[in-house]
Amino acid sequence: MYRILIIGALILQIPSWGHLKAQEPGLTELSIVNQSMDKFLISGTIRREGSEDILVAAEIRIEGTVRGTLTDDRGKFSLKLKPGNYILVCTYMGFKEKRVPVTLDRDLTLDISLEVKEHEIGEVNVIASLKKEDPIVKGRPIENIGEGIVNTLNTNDVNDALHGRIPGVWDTKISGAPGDHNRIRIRGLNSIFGSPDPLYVVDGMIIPIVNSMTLGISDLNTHDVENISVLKDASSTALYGYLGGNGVILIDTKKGGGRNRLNFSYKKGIQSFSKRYDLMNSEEFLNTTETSDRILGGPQFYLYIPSKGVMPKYPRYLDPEGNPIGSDDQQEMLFTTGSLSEYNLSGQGSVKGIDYYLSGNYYDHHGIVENTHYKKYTLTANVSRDLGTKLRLRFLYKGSHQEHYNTLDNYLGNTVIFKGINFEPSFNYTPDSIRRQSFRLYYNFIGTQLARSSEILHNYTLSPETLIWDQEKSRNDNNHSGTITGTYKINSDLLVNATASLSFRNYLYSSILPVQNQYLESAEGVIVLDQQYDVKYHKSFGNHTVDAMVRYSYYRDNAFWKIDSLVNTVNYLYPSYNDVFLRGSQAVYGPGGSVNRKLSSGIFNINYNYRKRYFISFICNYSSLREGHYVKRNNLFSSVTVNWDLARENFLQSVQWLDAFNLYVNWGQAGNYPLNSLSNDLYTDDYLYASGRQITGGAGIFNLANHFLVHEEVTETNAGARISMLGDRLKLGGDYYIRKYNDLLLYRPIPPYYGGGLFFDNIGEMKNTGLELSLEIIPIQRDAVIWVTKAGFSTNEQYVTDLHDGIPVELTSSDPLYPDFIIDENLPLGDITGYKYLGKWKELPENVKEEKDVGKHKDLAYLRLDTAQIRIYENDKTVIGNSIPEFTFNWINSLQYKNFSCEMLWYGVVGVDKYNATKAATYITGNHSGLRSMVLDTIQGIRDQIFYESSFFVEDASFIRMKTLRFSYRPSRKIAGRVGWEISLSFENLITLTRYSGYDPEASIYTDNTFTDNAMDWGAYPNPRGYFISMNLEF
Amino acid sequence: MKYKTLTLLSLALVFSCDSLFHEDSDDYIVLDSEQEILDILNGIYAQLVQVYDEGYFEALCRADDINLYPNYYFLWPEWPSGCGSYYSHDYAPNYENIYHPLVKIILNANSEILQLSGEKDAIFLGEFYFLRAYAYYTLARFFGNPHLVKDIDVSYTVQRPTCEEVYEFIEQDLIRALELLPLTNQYARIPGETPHQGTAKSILAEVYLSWAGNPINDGARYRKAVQHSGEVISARSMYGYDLLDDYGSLWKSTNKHHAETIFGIYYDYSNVATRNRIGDMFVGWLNDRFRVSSHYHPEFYFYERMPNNSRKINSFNNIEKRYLPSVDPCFFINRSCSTKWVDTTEYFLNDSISNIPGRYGTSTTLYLLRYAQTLLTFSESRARCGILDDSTYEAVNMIRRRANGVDPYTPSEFDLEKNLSQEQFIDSVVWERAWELNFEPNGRWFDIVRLDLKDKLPEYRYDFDFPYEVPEEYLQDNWYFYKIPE
Repeated sequence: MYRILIIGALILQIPSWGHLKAQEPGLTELSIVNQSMDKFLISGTIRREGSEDILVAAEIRIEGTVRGTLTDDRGKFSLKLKPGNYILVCTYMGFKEKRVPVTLDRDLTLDISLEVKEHEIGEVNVIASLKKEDPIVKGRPIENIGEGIVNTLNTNDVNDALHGRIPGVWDTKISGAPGDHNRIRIRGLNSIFGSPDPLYVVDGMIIPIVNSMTLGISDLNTHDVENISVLKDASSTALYGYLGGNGVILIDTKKGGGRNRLNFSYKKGIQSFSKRYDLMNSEEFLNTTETSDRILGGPQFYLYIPSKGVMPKYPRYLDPEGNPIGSDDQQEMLFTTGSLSEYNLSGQGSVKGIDYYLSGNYYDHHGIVENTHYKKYTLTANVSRDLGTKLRLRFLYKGSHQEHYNTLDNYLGNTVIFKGINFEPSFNYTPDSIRRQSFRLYYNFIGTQLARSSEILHNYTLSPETLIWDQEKSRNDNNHSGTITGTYKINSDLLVNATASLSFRNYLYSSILPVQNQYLESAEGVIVLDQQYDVKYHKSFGNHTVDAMVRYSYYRDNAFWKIDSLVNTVNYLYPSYNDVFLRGSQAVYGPGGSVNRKLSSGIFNINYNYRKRYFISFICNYSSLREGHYVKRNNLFSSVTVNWDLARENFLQSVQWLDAFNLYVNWGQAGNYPLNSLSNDLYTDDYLYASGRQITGGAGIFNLANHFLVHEEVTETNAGARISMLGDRLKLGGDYYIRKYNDLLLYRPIPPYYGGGLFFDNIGEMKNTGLELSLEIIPIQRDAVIWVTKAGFSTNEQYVTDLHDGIPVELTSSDPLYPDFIIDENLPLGDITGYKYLGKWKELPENVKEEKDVGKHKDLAYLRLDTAQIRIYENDKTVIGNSIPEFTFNWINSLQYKNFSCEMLWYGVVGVDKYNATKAATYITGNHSGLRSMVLDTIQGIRDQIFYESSFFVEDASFIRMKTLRFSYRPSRKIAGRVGWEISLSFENLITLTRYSGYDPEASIYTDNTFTDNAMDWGAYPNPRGYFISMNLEF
Repeated sequence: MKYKTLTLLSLALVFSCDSLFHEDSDDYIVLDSEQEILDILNGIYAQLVQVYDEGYFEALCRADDINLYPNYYFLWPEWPSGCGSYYSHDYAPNYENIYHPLVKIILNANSEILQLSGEKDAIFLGEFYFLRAYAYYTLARFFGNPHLVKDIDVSYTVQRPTCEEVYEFIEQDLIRALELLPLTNQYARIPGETPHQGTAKSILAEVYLSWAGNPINDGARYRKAVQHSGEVISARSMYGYDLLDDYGSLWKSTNKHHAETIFGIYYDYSNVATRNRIGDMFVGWLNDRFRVSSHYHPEFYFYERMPNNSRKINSFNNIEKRYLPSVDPCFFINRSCSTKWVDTTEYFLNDSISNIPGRYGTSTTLYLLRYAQTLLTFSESRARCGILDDSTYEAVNMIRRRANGVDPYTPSEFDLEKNLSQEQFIDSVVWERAWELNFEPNGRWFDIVRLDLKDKLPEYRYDFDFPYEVPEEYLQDNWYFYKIPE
């Protein structure tokens, strides 16, 4: 009987099933116990120092070799080795490393005890360090992603690590543009008009969300990350009270210590994108236009230029050889080959009692759309030192600078792509003097009216070259944060921890479009102060284990923003704020503003475990939130968890193959986000008045806010099971949850006698139900080969269950390229409404034509709901799609053969529809090849808005994608005996299976609410295919 | 030891950095400086300017067209088709532009009134009360009984009050303003512009006059109107009020501050945002080519029948202007409009600087109340109280004299006949008021409402005006009051 364990966080993340957890920083090592008879057996138990507690899955390594093992669930280990002198290195997360020299000349039994590294039980470690044993993890679906995954990501974006790894986390790479473009939704959309983004906590410190621009953790260096924990359910996020409702992502960075070592890595990658729309070339376009005008009776116009007289209506331009010019596909002009390079240098270890981790990273990424790039510089320093035997201090500094250049899609997608392809093919090749006239030709084809009412027309004079090379949309971000932590160990049971962190974040965004005299600048900054005081207590006596924590935390931020925007009209500049889109933060409408938030919480957590079978945990979080002038709220968030490990029960003790069988139920409450100043009245200082014989500025309220606004609150009940069997070679997990949201924030019109406008009100209730399943199998576990396969599946159904005033919230737009949406009681969230397209009328079978609900509009057939009316009109709109996936799944395979390893990650999103506005726009402007046949077929009705609001452009955007395929080779032999090295080759998005006809089914845009985001592809920046090679040296 | 000291120092630093934050995050809400109060006041005046746009005067100009119902949008075919894209134009009164800025004024005033204290900021508080009262008075005259909102916490359950409650509220505000405002013009925040007690008193007299008429018809209020207007007239030298000799000079943009202004809004041509651009309205039929409908026609019809004197000449100006006639014969702008809206000579002079639309405008002051009106109010309300003495006659005669271009203080041939009956006298004053205030913000329309004249009005329409029929459902509406926009 032997036990083989993988230490392979590099290749795969093994979630915490409650018992076994492999953790080995950075290295891919495989140890196999040799059963040869001329070897002696070392066996023993590893315990927590000063107690009888055993440590499960502690690591025992033979120094200087790759051999080692982990302790089993009784804290025991055994190793067979040839006689000789060895040093056993025992490590366990949250404990000090212990080196035990042994002389092996007989079978040995050792009892090793490890000392707790108290100072590491910081904020994160409440969860993270106790992955195996910490009571709080039991009975709660908390999942981890190890540094092995995060450190080897293709792009330097920590959020990428969440792609397809954890059931219940719907992570969308919304844009292939360089820089951070992830949209993470944990267990559904937790808010419609508020922020649905999870809370990020980096090294215990809360990352503020002020608006869309400061969101996230793009400033982090992936190489610094040690562990990511995802708290999905409200029973765990109750710890974060007002901030926990959308799920919490805890990120723990490297702390240093141990052996001194230096690590250098270099990465080079290229990205390519080859999918194209089928667009007409210049010749085809002009032919079609001519035909269209003749057959369909196009609007009459003439090209008249005073200096040149009348110009030809359908001008052809020929090159010197007489061939039509402008027949190239303009898409080739937009897309290029992206490239990426990264340098990372880090050092860690311990010098004169000071543990340190230092790193610097430079990341440079050029996107697949011309003239888009992103750069990131990060610097991290983490040092800690013991002062005496009881006190430990830690200093942490993180600094970063990011430069985005044309990579930020503002509201409604990427202009270069969207407008670039909606461009008359011959336009670019016409002489300058008639450019302006040419555009008339360009949009007359389908009709001025449609083009005017959509976004496309606004840039009609901009050629793709101008769009690509003349616009400068840049943003520079700076982040600096410093943290000081002091840990004082009163005695072996009691620990006091104090942390304070101060951080400054700011960015400057500027958008310059010289040809249109548009200048926009916005700046935003936030100062964050975060303080935490913890008292932790741990005690075991007999069969009882008690862990308790009391915490007081104080979070404060002060965010401020300023928007300068000037648009030049004929002869004066006037300010315009429309270009700045800031969702969930109403107060920033207008030229600027600020918000000051204070959040103080008193938290009590107690966990009790009896005989390691019965576990119960309570969290109480009494929080007080102060924001702006009106928000003064106090609330109690609580949670309870019960876990029962059946495998330890007597009646199952005889079942040898069952390793663990945990059943749990939990319940908890958490709040959604701070209100982001939504309860502050909006003022404008735009007024000018000619009073006092001089012109003076004035200010005033222009939109009242809801002074009684409260946060959204989620109450969740979760039940789950975790089963591990056959020596942990088969693991099953499942969770079922019901989340209920009270006080859902929705728009509500303000009565006209209060000035009109819209504000937010807590007028709804929403319900999510979901199922998450996971399966992990180790089919092959031989000496040299290990194959681990893992699959996850999750589904989430979401309904608005109640609207207090019963009035549905309708999101309609006059833009033909923006579908309609509706939020109503008992309707699934994310429904897209429009006309149901049935086909060309003449192609419909006769019996179908006679049906009452088939309506004819010109030559096209649509579903008719209002059968009393013959024409197709507003009342015939129906649900034509849903933008929220029915289920998502992932499948991860990792294979290790000697020094080679391979990982493959598949990610699937199924049952999601998207309105392909990019394609629809090419129909309006008339250069899509699909239109040609319709025009030649004399189909009428393709110029009408109904066609563009129909299901003709709603497509199934389900996809299955091979997100990652990675091969790596890490020889055991070091260069010159001391430099370890590893080389790896990685592919991204190599295979995508989808029926979606657009560029990328995954890419989407940013709209004014959370559920229409995914419903539209409006020139979304596609995710490219990538090829990466990286090298890693360790000294 | 060094470590420990350093550590403790830095710890103390970080743990105490709460003081980095500005305690006062809601700068706009807590008025901590006089400048912020002034900003809000300026904002209110700027919004008051927005009320008096084309929509306001269109609403007034429908006075005599009894077939036009207040809430009926009618799309006028303003221009003949086939000439550019100007073939139709919606000229239904845009009363939302009247309602919304007034509500915003009330909102901002409410916000300040809730925060300011009478002792410290009496002069500002008085001005806010005054402005709130004025906004409610304007709302009441257009919409009858607008919701009374006194706070800034949005409530969905505010009920429409009775018209009387609205006037009581306005009265209260003006009485409070009277207590708080400075005594006379010279102590006003901006002398000659911002309100003082004389302004509040004059407005109060107008409020009582309206209160006494339709829809409340509380005749007892005439006495109060007499009292307040009488006080203003007798103390006119203290307040600095007087009639100007030359009627026409009132609307010269150079004549911005003078004795006849009681309350007005001011413009400045030098900035595009503060220009008086009410002259963008026009009366299309004056151009031979385009004899088509306009909402201004009823008012213009009335104007055409005014007594022919210097007042009539100085009330309207007809200037036609064509842009680029050689290129586009359709592209012309006929800027015939009242001189009481803009200084027409200057307006078109500015216009001709550049042919680009958007450049024109003037600095002409728009009078929301002038001394002449107070005289007429005094005269009418006094007559209604049955007092037909010399001072009653004198007040209206002053107006008549000036209208005919003679010295207002010297008796002349234009004076009313003595010994008219009460009814005859009132009738004369009402006509005088209509002619005197024609095209002005407090023009004839409000008298039609106040005196319930609907059934006595002739139907002023030109034969080329577009024929239309009002749909049945609108005929039930109150002809005098607009519906509050939803």
